[in-house]
Amino acid sequence: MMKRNAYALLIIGIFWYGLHFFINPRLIPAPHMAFLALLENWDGISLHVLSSLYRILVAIFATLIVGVPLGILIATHPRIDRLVSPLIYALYPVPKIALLPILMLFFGLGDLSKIILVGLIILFQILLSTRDGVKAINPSYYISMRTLGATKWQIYRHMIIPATIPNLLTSLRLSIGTSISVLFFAENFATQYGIGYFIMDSWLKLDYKGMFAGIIAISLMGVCLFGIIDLLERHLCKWQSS
Amino acid sequence: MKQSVAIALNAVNIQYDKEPIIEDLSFSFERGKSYTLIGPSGCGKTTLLYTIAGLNALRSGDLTFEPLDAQNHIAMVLQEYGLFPWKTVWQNIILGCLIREKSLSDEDTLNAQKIAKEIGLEAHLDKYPHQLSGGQKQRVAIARAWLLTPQIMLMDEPFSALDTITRETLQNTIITLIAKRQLTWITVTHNIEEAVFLGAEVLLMGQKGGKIVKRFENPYFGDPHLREKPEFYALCLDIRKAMQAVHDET
Repeated sequence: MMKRNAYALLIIGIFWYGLHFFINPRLIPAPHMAFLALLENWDGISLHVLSSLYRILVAIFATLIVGVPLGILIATHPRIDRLVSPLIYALYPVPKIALLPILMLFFGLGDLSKIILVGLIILFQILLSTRDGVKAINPSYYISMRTLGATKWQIYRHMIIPATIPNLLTSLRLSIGTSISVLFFAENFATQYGIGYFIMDSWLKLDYKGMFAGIIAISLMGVCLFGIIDLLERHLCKWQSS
Repeated sequence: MKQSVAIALNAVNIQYDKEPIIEDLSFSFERGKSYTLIGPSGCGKTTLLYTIAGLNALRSGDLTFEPLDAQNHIAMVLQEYGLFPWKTVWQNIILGCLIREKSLSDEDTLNAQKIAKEIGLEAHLDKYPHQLSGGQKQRVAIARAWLLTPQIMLMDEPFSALDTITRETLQNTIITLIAKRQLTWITVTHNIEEAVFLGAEVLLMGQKGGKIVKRFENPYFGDPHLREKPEFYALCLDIRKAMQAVHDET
């Protein structure tokens, strides 16, 4: 794991130094300068990172609470699937980011509208991956459960939920990437906190070191979130890594 | 001595998608006897087994158990093992107990450990199903069913995916288990030798409608060395001829 991370850092570092030396040293500061700027301004940047993390985690948590049960419900009830799936297919491609002004109108300029925007975007990924995960369960497992006399709740507990977890973790990984990108955009409106705001504000002030320090911070935030998902996977899906 | 009836089917009809699979079947399975069901593909063997297990609804007719609560003490071993890949061997073995009794008592734990040892799974309890061979997987499925202390044991082509030697080793395990408890066993198989080895009575089903067209009493049942004796092959030959006749009828 450490070796893999070091390898990734080395590649990014070489590429970055290349851009710094060959394109424009004033526009693209050297990685070590940006890293130093991050350390020097950590007190301020950490507040922005925490604001963004808060929005992302609340959005993901809320989406999991809504998307997972709904995905399971759709997968296990063909009639509901027939009614709801066409609706999902129609709404999924709509660029939800265009809804930001409407969301701000209804839910205010604060955190809620940004959280709902992120949630709306990742909801579909989580819902569909849960639905597909449940649908992919081997039918013989259902027979096995029924021969053991399992109740509906026991079927969920011992079979459907564990079978769905790998798919769910994959969709969480995708969702984290999407959430950070969407939040970067949303944090440029009506807020003074958030790593997206910090990066754009630094850019407007022509503070390129600060801007790149923000980019490093957003990247570290992603690394930490992906690391948490990897840890969860190792703990919850031992059977896959054994 | 005449045994009492464990399962009675009376004029049973079963349909799948409006197509009749079992038509007007009446038959009684005696308590404590081991039956094997053999017959051509699509004849309704598995449907009959699943119906006894309560997995299929009857279109008409009666299915009764004696005693009445025997229907709550049925265990089943499936062809595809029915093991859950996210559970260890131990968790798979105790799953039936957890489901039926809501918790695992100390006695259940001891029983499970004893059964795992008897069935040769002691060294594999922490493994996951994908780390086991086909034979070991089926041993887990058998251990799980056996731990439920059923009154009726159903097996649906349990060894069809296994090589000959593994299959025969598991058949021997089953014979040992059958001798330990007086259960009603019903095994569905495509293999004539397996039907003779595991069945005190071999039931041959017809091509269609789930009819039992011929019954073969097996006086040699229970002998672990049966495969080495000419009587075994003579009975296999009789059944083969009867199966050929069923096949030729169509």
